[in-house]
Amino acid sequence: MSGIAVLGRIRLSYLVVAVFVAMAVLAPIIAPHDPADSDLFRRLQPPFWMAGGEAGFPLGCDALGRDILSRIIFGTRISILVGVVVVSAATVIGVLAGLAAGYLRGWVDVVVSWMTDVLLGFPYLIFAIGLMAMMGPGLLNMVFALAYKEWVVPCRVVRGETLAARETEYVEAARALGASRRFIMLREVLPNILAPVLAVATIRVAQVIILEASLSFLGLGVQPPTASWGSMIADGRGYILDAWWVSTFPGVAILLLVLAINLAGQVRRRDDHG
Amino acid sequence: MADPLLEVNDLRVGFATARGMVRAVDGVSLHVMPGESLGVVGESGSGKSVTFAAVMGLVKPPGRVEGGSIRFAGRELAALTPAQWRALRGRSIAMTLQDALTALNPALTVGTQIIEVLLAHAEDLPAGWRARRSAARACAIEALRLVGIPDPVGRLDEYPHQFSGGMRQRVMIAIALSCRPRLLIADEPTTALDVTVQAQVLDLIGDLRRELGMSLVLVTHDLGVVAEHCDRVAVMYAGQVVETGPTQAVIATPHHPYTQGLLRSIPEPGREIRPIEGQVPELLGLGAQCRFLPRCAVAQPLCELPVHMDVLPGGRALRCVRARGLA
Repeated sequence: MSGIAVLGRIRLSYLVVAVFVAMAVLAPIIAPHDPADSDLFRRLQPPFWMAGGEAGFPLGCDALGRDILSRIIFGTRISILVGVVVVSAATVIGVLAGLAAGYLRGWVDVVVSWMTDVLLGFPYLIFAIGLMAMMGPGLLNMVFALAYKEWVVPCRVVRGETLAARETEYVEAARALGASRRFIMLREVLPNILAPVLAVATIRVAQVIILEASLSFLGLGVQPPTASWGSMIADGRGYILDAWWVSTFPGVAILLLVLAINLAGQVRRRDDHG
Repeated sequence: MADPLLEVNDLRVGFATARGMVRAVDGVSLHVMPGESLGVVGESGSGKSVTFAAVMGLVKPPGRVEGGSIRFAGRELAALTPAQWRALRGRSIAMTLQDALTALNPALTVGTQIIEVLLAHAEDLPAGWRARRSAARACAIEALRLVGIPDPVGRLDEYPHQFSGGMRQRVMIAIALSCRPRLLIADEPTTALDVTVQAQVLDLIGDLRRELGMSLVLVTHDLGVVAEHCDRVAVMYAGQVVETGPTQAVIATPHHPYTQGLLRSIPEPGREIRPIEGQVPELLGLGAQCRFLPRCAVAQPLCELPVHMDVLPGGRALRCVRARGLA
């Protein structure tokens, strides 16, 4: 691929992510309507370019007459919040567990590896649904349910990188200079394995956003009337043939954000490897 | 005579392998006096690096120190707890590793790497976090200046990849010397460097040794380097010391056939290089017999008998049956 095309893709994917982040932060300012404000006279009102649509509600309204654009804008908050919080928490836990397993080896490694193997054995969504069934629906419980398994991903990456790093000369040199194990793990090994950890975290944010949408679609995530992309798609399920816009626009939002994050992450990874 | 700073006695280090215990170090004894420099010479696999990994307490599994004693400044090291080991390493005994090009952490600046050693070990830093850091930074600049790095203030915040090979080796030495250790173990300090830089680095180590009054162990496979920089020499072969003594004497009149072979294999103008035939034996199930026997040009029937270290006059010692005729 030519340099300009790569550059263009970096710019575009970063730009799309930046727009979504801005939407999330500025939601109350930029949303044209209150996302929970229903108006039954506007029930299933089509987008502005179709007959019966109006410019004030550019993407139309849902079955309760709520503005879809405003709900998408507010839904961005939930998606990005869950994605970032879950991946951040999982990365912190996974990095610590992976460093300990990879550097200390022995029983620590046995326990951590056993836990990761068991957790990887479960299908992700089924595992999260099971946990949510026990804990009950809601935003916080969803974060816990996802983070419970998500830490395995950075943990495996970090453990592998640490296994390689612990054999390097600079770790040996640090030991010869009297460095403690904690110091070596956090100061010598960690800075050298951050690049793959960040690349993985970026990609995983996109993955967690899809999982959040899936759980919300199933009614296990944030509860009405709070808007979430997954629950918006679920809301429009019954009208998909008559009022396609109710489900389609939140779906497009998920597609755009996830695609942009993945592209940004991929380009980052390529940069890291030269 | 004063007490030696480092005294290794009958050290044995084994590596458990699928085919049995490999004795990488088998009964090594040597000592270093305060302020003295000892050269340890031997080819690859002679056990010289493993010996000093044991001195640093850094023998990695499957390797294990099986016996013998290591005393530093009168203290037996085998009895140390991990915390005591850490306090000793870097503070009292410092070591530079073979490959300076990879022994620096690529993700941290050179300054950070020196400062962290100082913060961990130096006792004379002022109290208070900010004061400690700025004092350590000043020490780090001084350490870089000491090893002859130009513009130490500017280079402190650079990363290892911004330094050349020789400069990186100097940084390694600066880190090792930052806490003024009493003993520096330099394991092949010049193998990764080209010849002119080699000479500079070795001269630097020699100067610093005299300046700081520390002892030096120079581990190398190059007898020429030892001849120029060391007071005494210990020649190792197949996990044992085979000859030791004052450098001048050993080089002028080498007794052991292996030492003689090493000297003959140093290139010299107008003389043919004569390499030692054969290879270092596998270190599995060796007996008390001379280990150099299969390669020895002057072997005799007596060589089949067990051989041990014989003390000779003039501070020399030799592991060869011919020693009896020399004593």
